[in-house]
Amino acid sequence: MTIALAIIVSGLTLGSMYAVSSVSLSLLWGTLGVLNMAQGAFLVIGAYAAFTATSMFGLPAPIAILFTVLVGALTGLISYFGLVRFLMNRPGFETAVIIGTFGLSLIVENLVLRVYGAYPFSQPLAVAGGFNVGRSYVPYQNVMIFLGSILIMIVVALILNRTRMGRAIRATAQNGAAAQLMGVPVRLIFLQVFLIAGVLAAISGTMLSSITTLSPTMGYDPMLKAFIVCVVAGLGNVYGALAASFLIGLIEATVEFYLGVKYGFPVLLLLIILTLIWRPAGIFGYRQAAR
Amino acid sequence: MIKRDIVIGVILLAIAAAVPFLWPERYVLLELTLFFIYATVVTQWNLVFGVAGVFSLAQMAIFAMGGYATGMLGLYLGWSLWAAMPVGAVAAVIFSVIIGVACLRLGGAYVALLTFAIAEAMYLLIITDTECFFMEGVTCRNFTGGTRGLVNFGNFGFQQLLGYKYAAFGNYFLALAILALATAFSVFVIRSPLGTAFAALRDNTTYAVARGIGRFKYQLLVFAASALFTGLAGAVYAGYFSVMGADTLNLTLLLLLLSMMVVGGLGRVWGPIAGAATLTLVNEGLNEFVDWRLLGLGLILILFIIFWPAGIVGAIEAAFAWLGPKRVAPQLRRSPGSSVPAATARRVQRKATVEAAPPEPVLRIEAILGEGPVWSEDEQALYWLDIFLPAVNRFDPAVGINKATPLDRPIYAMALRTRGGAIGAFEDGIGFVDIDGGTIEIFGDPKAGSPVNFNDGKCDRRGRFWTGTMAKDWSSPIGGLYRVEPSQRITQMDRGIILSNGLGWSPDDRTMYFTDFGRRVIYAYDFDPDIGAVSKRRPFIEIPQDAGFPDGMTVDAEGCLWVAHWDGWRVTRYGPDGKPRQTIRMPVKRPTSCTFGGPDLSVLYVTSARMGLTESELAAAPLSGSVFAIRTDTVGLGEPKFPA
Repeated sequence: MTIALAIIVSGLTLGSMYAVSSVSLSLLWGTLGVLNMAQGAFLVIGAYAAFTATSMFGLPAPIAILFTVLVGALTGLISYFGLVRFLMNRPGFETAVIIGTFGLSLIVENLVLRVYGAYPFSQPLAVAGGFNVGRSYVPYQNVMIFLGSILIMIVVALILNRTRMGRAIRATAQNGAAAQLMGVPVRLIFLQVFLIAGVLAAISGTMLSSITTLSPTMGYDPMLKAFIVCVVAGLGNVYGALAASFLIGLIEATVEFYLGVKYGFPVLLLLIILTLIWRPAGIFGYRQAAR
Repeated sequence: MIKRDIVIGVILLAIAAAVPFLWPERYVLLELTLFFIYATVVTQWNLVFGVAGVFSLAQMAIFAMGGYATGMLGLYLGWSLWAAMPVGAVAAVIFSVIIGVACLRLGGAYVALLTFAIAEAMYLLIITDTECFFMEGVTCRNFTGGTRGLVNFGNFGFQQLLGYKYAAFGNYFLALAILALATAFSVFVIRSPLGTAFAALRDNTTYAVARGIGRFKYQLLVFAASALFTGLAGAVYAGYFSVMGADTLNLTLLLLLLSMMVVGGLGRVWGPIAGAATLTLVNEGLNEFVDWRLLGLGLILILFIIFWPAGIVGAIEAAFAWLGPKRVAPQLRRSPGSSVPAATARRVQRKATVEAAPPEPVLRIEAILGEGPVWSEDEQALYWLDIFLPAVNRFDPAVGINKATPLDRPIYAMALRTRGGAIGAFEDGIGFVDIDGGTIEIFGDPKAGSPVNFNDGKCDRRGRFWTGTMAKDWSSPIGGLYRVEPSQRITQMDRGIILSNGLGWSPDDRTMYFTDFGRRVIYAYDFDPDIGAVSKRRPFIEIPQDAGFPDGMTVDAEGCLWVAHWDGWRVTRYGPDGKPRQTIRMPVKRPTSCTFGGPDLSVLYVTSARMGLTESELAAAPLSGSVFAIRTDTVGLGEPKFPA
């Protein structure tokens, strides 16, 4: 019982981390077909923005959060205007954008390294304390991330499903050309989605860094996990991504408990490949065209 | 092409072989050896990604597999590295086949993602390897060497063989030899029919799917074969450094090699070497700014992918295509001291000339029935149709990329619309096509019930769309000529045609030309541009039997007709008097249509067909189906759009 409890606590923590990492990636990939290799960099920017606002500028938490959100929005804007805009409507967009965002991630990593150095700062924008469940200690921060991930997912799902902008985004995702013909301004949609993705990534980066530490390369691992979440969930399925995150977190926690930490990721990878062979559109996917 | 590659290869090899003797500095040799190793990986990556279209990010994992396998055989079994190297390469091949089987059936981004994840998993497994595999004295050693790297497996023994002074020579020439082999393999693949097939697959997946081309099988083949050289490069790396570490799986190194490939030019034979050389030099140049290396690398990647996606070699090729030998050679030379093309003066006296060098394809593709080329001046792109693998193609000559939009039914003719998309003629009538989405919206069918199909069509200069019909049996005189006004009203304008085909208007808009392929005749009408009426049909050009059938055509600014001869292996330019002035021999039996395009409308684009050709005819004309570009000394008139 204690073992099961420990695995569940650890799995839910991992799951909520994956959920917050994957929401922005899932949005970009699912709706625009942009596999954002700079996702890790987006997370890094958010984490360092929160750190800067709190530790360096000494801002109170609400203003620091607002600052982080603005920086995230700016990240999305710059990515769109500096890179993605040029690659749209070009054959081979899918791969060009992968290469371009790789370039972006290198630039961000280098800049962060030059400005802040590689010192593993801890994230000051976090809640302290915790409680015990059986023999496992659960920090409040983990609970906050768990709730935060669910909240973010719900907000994104509401934006996509209930707003006019969300309808336009979904229309673009389903058939960009048709959407354009129906009067959907596709370029504006790209811009909007990049803005939202930038903001979400900044929030996610802040939350992630609050239970690990800040570093210029802290984004790569969550990015990789987020990729896997997206593949398992199926593209553009926000609730699916939430479910997949927790599923993967629990599987990983179980594997790590019984086989050792080092096998967590390889076993996951094997599961992903099997998933793709069995259901190419993802477990919760509905778009067969993804293949 | 392949001759040119051999010449370039031999020259580069000779230079590389001379360097150690002319410039025997140890540092230079070490850097160059590393350059050869990386360039080998990039040539093979280029085959996998640039040619076969598999965006693999596992290339360094395959490289590492070759290196680790070689090192482990040396360390654990005491093998000589010379024996271990080929086995290591085979291990890399096996590894690549496993990756390939798992990933290659998936689409583009998924392949990138999974191969990336596999490489990452390999990296994590190595650096978290802390279990004792054996004891070295009192120290515990891991199976993979862990974060410390795999060591003590020996080297290639050049020091004993050549002495300390020349040991670097040994590694240098070994790495060079592997690079030479890898490059030869790459040339072989790119220039082989397989390479052509891949180009077609990459440019036009629709065809591949429609024709049931087993893409997976060929991709796996190239992926596995390239892993052999990638693995060998890994083995040479291990022997050269006498250590194999997980740092070879570092993301920055992967991106450095990716940049080499992108900067050099994806899919180009010499792209990897040009790119690897450029980035090695840039890297050396940036030694002082080592703190900003990643930033520089990132900027290079972004700038190239945005502004020069064809890379350095692509830019050089474009420059040569512009300056190099012109296809219609005699007419293009300018007379000395004159800024006017000599051809202008010579044109009057010129008789029918026969072209010497056959035109080369700008787009190698196996179109079943390529037709209906239309140049878009706004987009600087060529639209063309494949009637029977129904698709609207958009070819961008600046980057050499063709994009096909598959349609759900045959499309016989097409003109672009001013508001985007196109108007087209289909089995079930005239309608609008959304070129991005491939959806068709029919608005009228004047031929309903009659056993005819539409064929060629075009807009006149007032934007009326004209198209003819052809008897389905190719022999009954039941076809006609139709006019579609911007209001979508359709009127029959003539009848009694067997197989309607190419049409066009004289520059003064007073004559309309219209082809009856079935009778081997091009008619002329008096044309009234104001009301869009035709009258006084008369035979204008009759094609002799040995010259095939008149197919699609276009009219140039001098009022001459350029006519594609189906079964005639040629395109002929006829004067406004109907007399042949120039013949361009085509390397295909069935050129189908032509139009002027290019920045100054002086390039004649010619489509062709594979339809109905026997195996031996196809063997004689393997380029059948391709799109050709011929530079001319005249200019076209541009294709009007449908104004609605």
